[in-house]
Amino acid sequence: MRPIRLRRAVVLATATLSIAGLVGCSTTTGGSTAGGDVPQELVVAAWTPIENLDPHGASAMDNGTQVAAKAIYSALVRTVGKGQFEGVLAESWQPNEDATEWTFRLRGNVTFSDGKPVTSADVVASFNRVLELKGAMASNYAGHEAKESGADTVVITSKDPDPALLGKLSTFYVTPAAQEKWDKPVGSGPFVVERFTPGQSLVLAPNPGYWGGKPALRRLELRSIGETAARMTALKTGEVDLTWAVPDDQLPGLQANSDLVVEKDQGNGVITMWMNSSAKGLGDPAVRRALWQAVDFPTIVTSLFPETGSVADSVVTPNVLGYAPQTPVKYDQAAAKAALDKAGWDYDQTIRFQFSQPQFQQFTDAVASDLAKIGVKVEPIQKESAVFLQDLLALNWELNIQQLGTAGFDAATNLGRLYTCAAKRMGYCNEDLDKLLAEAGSTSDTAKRQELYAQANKIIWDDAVGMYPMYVRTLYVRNKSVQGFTVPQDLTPDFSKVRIGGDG
Amino acid sequence: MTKYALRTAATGVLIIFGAATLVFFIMRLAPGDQAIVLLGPDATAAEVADARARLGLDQPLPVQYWHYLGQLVTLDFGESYRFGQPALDLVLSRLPASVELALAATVVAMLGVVFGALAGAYRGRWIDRGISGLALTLYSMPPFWIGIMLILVMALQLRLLPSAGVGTPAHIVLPALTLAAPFTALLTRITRSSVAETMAEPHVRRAYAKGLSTREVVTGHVVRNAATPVVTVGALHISTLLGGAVIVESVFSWPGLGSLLVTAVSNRDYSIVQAAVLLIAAIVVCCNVAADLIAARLDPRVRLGGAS
Amino acid sequence: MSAITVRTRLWPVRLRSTPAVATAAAVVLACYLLVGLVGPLLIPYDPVATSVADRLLPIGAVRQDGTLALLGTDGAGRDMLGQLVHGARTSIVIGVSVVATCLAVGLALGTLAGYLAGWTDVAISRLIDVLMAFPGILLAIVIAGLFDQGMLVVVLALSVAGWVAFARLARGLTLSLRVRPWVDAARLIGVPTPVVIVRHIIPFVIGPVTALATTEFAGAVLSEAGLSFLGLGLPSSTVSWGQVIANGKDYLDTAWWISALPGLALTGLVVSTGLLGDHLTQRLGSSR
Repeated sequence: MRPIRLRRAVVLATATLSIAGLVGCSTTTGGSTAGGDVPQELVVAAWTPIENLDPHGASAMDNGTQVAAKAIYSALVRTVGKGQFEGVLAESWQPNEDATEWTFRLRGNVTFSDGKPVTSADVVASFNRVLELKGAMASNYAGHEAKESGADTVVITSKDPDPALLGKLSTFYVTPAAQEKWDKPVGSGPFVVERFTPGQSLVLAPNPGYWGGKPALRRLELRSIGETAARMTALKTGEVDLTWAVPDDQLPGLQANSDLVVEKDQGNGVITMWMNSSAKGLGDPAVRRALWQAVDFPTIVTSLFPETGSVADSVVTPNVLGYAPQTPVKYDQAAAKAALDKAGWDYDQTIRFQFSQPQFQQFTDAVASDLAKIGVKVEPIQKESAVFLQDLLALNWELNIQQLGTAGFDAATNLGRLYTCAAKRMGYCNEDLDKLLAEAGSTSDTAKRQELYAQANKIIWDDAVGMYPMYVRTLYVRNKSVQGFTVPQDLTPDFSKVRIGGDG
Repeated sequence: MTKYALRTAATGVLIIFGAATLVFFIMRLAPGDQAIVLLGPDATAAEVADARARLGLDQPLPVQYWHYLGQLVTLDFGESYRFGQPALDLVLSRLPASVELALAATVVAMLGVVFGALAGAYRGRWIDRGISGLALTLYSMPPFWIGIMLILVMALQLRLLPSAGVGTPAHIVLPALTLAAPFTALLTRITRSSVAETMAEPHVRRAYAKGLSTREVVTGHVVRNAATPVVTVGALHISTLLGGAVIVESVFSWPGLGSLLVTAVSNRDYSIVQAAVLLIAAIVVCCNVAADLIAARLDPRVRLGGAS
Repeated sequence: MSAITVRTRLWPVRLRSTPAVATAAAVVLACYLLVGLVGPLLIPYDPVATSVADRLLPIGAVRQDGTLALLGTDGAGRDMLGQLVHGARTSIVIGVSVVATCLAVGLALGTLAGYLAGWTDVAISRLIDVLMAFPGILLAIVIAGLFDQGMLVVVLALSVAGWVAFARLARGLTLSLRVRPWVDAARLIGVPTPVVIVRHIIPFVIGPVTALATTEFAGAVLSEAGLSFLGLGLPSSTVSWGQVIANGKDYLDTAWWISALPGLALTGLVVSTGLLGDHLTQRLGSSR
């Protein structure tokens, strides 16, 4: 990987990070006691820098800020699985019939680290702050409004039905209404800030008054190490105890070290390669299917991403509400070539294949290589994040690759958001699909939504709106002395239950 | 002397103003603006337009420039939209780390002066060949390559030094060595040629004629005269050491100005880029003045206020 | 008197560089040029043709289809030998383009500033000062980061600050040349300024400037590698050594050859350029 890493890396991809999921796939072996004489100190290497501790502002959706926010603040709810949520600050919640009004009841006994109670006024103030700051998070809540109704009840209303609100709220953190110092903020999470150097390191101490019980760690440091090689070296030498987003190719070097334990999450990222339906020649679904068919994705996936990748069979991952398995697209260059000839494909046309993140470099090269074999010209173009984003929205590409996640494990935040005619994200417009998505977005009946999104899934897959070659999982590597760590499903680990044992 | 001071100050202000203008226009003319990066991929066109208006990006460029100059005069660079802190504070908070690294690298690079003097004094001998060859090789290696090799050997294999980050004095060793490598080579080469040239001058010949040893000649007659170009070139490279250490900072996760600048460019965080570039320009101007003054002290032939 | 004769031996007598070293350097450089010119014709390499099943093969390994990967393969299964040979061409082309651009711009502005003096000189000198206050690599990063990847952008990014060194040198030399009698004479008999500059100034400036060009060539090749390392260099469709080194840096403990080979090739090129440059500086250069 190359070093200038856009901290939006995952964010851009996942658009909204899916959250929490404390029911991890692989829990660590839990020794029963934390070794009394082992210093309870943990150093974590964050792969994106933590630049800002404000969970509402411009950096709110960054992985670094989200990781810090989970340690310092509390959200209203967190995701525990497909369409399932668990209360954090909220004790219970209730949507109205058409999901335009959600009522949350707060726990009564939660206090901020400065001793003041968490009230509905703080929740409303935090929500308003998100809207006022108009950062990346604000677009989640267009037409939403929060009101207090007594000290322990908050009502969130929206203009349009929003059945996926809980998923979005899992990245919404509550701060005191009177918060002033954002470099040493007050929160109600398991840790409090001891020292924060933006973009460099965040040192945390346990919050003795944490409502979930004081964490075992005495000191937690989140160190930003952007350079992959440096991050791996620090892990091998024991300078850091835990990191994630470890590239597949680094694994052989790490596995030689018996002190390290490798785990992976379930993941809900899908490598999504939209084809611009509004571009010349690509409006025809037969052409798009043929291009997809011409690439040997199984070989590419198993060669480049043997650990983290698996061949996808849907637009969203199996752990997402709205998943439905589709007919695999079989690699067949002869058939692809025949279909392109039949559709009258212009072999002089060059497909501009844009990407931003360095880990796609080899992937895009391999795709271009396969397509070149049947005479289709593809030019992979790596763009700087700002330019990539601008061109992405302007549809200034023919083929685009990014990793898309599904926030809240609910297809509403992926299919419902991106594939409508109005969204204009890949030049594709299908009225039948629009109707399905609109219907799914206005009901709160989970079974019905699953059914509708499954149908949408099929249309998108069969029309080859994009190529959907691979599901992505994330590798977590930790020192075996780190115990009680649960691999999160949303790239934001929870350190409240972690302790350091003598050995694994 | 007053004339020199006035002239220097005027030139310095002009240079800083030029740097400020350059960075302003380069950043604004580039594709991809703050509003888009700020809002992410899900924003609607209306939201983007709204954000552009809030950030003042919808105004004509000359108006923005005028506004920017107004802010400059009061040293107000605005807030970084990503960090949510005043840009100048952020830049200043990174300065100590950069200065620390630059100083450490300069100390290491002083070895170059010693080696260069040796090579120059014994020009043409094996010791000169050895030193010159080594310096050339060092100068010819990509700095990031040297850094990676140092990590591989010193941190990974021998486990002698930490690989990245800051904290203990040991953390600075590898980045300082890496940053110093090309600089050391450069100083070696410059000192060598400067010393060799001075060695050929009449007063040195006379010193030899008086029967002094090479060592006495070099320390007594050569070093002072040969120092001028070394100081000048050294000062010119301060900017490289301070703001140009980007690659070294990236390899070692060193939290200096360079890495802040690179992320700021990629985020289109204009206020940070502007503040950082201005600070670096100001430091360079100061270093150049200092070099002028030192050169004038060392070598009476150099007159202040001559050709710039 | 005897003291002097005795000391003479200690004296740095051999002030000129040995022609043997310079010759050797020139031969090595010629080899690089030859590889860059002819190599791509002999050793086919298609950056588009990846073969992910053959990725990260060590030196001398055999590919799935039975062919030999003489110098191994990279992370996308592309042949390292091909990359080295084709990268030689890219590095040389970039180095030469950057130096040519800088030399042309620097020579023109430098001689103009030196010859015309007055406001022209002030303007150009201040421009030089401004650019000197910017760390060169930083300016390159800003420019390379702001536009689409490509050879032209890299050349531009490295040239924007690169011409300054040439301009300074040319200006300094011109300042002393313009008061020489033959220049004065030409001016007095009414020879137009451009002609004076081309006929009577540039021939005397070109020597030292050429010597400087070798140093700048080495710098440009190294800077391109640095930009690639930061992910701001060339697109993957154009192979360069810097890019290959950067691509291999995550494989140092598992596939060292990816970074090591182009690193050695690069160092060899820069060292021989440097040796030749030293020689040229002594033959043609001003003292500095």
